[in-house]
Amino acid sequence: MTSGIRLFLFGSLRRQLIVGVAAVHAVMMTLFIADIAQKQKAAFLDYQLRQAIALVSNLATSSVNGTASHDIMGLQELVDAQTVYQELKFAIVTDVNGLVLAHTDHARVGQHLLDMPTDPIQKIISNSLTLVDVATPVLLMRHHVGWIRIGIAQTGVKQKLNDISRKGLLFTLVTILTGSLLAWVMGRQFTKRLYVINSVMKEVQAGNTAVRSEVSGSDEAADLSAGFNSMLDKLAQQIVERTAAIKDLRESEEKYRLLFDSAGDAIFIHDTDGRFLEVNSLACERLGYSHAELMSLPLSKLDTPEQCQYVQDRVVRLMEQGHHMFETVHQRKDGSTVPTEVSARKINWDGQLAMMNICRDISKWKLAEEEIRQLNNKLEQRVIERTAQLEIAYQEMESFAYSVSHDLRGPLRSIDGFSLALLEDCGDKLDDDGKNYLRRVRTATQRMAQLIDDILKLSRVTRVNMASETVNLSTMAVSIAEELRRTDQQRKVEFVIKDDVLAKGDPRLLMLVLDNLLGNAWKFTYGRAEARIEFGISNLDGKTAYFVRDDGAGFDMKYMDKLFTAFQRLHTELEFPGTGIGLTLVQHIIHRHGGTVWAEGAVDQGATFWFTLGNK
Amino acid sequence: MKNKWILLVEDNADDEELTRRALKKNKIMNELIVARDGAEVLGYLLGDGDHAGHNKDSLPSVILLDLKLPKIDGIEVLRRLRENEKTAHVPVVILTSSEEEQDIAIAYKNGCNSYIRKPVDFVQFNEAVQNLGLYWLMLNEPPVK
Repeated sequence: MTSGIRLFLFGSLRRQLIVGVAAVHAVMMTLFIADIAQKQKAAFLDYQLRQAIALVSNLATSSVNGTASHDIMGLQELVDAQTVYQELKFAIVTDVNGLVLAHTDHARVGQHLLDMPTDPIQKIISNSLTLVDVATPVLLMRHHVGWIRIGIAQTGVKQKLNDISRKGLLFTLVTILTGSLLAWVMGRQFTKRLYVINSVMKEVQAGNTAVRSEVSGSDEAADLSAGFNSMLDKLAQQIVERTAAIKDLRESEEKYRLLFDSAGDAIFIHDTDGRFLEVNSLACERLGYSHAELMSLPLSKLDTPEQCQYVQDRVVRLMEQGHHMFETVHQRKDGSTVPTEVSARKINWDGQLAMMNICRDISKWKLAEEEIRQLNNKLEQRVIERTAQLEIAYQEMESFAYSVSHDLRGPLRSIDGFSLALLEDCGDKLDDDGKNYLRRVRTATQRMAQLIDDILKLSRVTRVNMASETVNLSTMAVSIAEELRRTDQQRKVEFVIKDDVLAKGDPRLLMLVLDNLLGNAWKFTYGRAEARIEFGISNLDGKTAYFVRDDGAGFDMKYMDKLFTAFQRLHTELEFPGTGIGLTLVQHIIHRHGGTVWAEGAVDQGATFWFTLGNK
Repeated sequence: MKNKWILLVEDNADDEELTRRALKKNKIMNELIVARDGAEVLGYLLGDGDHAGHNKDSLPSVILLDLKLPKIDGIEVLRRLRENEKTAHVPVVILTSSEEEQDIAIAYKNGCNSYIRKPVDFVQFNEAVQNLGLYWLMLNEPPVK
């Protein structure tokens, strides 16, 4: 009820203005009217009193003699004469003691008035709108001889006062109405501009964001309108931006979702307590759960029971390192397992710490790994078999070499032995040709024995176990040179051997290399009055190369490839003896050391043999 | 000189003949007994097996032992001889075609006194036999008289 009234009164600015103006008018006018009525009343009272005093004084003067002489008749006449005053209520003459001598009401003559003042001075007994009652003493020669009492009552005063009030009320009402009307007009003028803004606001609310308020002028309403418009503009701008942002966000969300769900790996996001926050569709698909089922599982259910015990450790490691990769085995809903490689990472998920596991199905890898393992095993098996076969082959070769050394040499010995026996025992029965033939038989036999020995040497170089030591080639070369000199002290050969040439390899085999190369140099400088044989070291393209150089017979470079072939010779046996196995032996040994050997030379201009050792 | 005899262990008849000739050429006239295989040697010296009856009272001044033999090979013969107290100190010279390092090593390991490779050149062979006879029959004092 009260709220209804309040709404009615203060529901709009216009009404508030009208109510305000009306209230102000009402209060002001009421106070004004009340003040006027009050002053009017006081004026009336004052007038009444002065009239009463004037009347009583006049009567007292005129009734001195009558009072003093108790001329009742005369006094009554005087009193009655007073009745010309319409307002007069009563006029009384008493003696000193209050005995009524004359009264406008004749019936009361002779009565005593008890309410007379005691002292002989004028006294206002009553002063109100209904009655002004004044008593004044009658004095004769300063002797108090009696009292005059006059009562006046202006019957019209109250009426007049009521008139004043009534007219005041009327004025008040008129003023209120006028004020309200003015207020209404002004309010209308004022609020009309506000309503323009208001209607724009309502239209914007209804969805038409393009409208703007049009309030002219430079007052506050115009400012408000301009402010409101600029606010609308800003809002519209913000809405445009916001819409674009939302669109971007939605697109980004869609992209993320697309990526998340079409990723080639299963993705699980869980919080630090092992509750899933999100899983992608591949995760569900791979493990055979619906999205809701998987989301409700605890993290520990993901792994097989055997793997489950490591979950806590992994979380701890992940917390420490921020990123952690490991292999595990996931379990499908149906109990089957998936070997999985997990790349786990700490992430921020909606403001809380979470872990993202990107899980790759490595079943194929595992299968491939198993296949590789089996292949390796097979290969190893095959290597073992081959090695065994090789060992058998080696053994066969060794037994072959053994039987060559034994069985082929036996018959040769017989041929040589009996040829010699024939020459010695039956020499007299043979002519020179016969003896010559037998000598040739013996030479051939011995050469064959030499060849067999060389073949054995070659096979031994191939078979022997290699040591790897630091070898001083210079010392070796010096001792070989001394040995060669001893075989023919007549020859003038200068050996130039570089000091402290070191190499890494098998000492016996490297000795054989130098023995052959220096031996060749010695052999092919035979017949020179003076010869020079050099052993040294040189750097060829960053690699250490060793060389043996002589100024002997040399060779034609076009036969270079024949130099190292077994039993191939560039000279006749008569020119230079030999089986043609030496350089083949050298090549075998150098190759076994991972090096290469080659030669440079020209006919009659000497030869240089180079070799490198790969392990240096 | 009369009691000093040579035991030649050789399965090759040519080698036996050439050895005999070389000895003869070098005037080494001591008795030469030839065993054709390892088992025969052990029979002669230790009274083992088929040749138990052929054993002699005295021991040879030197045994010329080939390595490649039928039945029981040279190294095994050497090992058995060295095992037996009676023959443990008899001089044994390995006379063989092989100059394989492992053969030489294993022969010495089993207690041979010398190792000689038969040269193909018969002149050299003669020299070798001459030296052998001279050394083992003349110079060397045998462990048991």
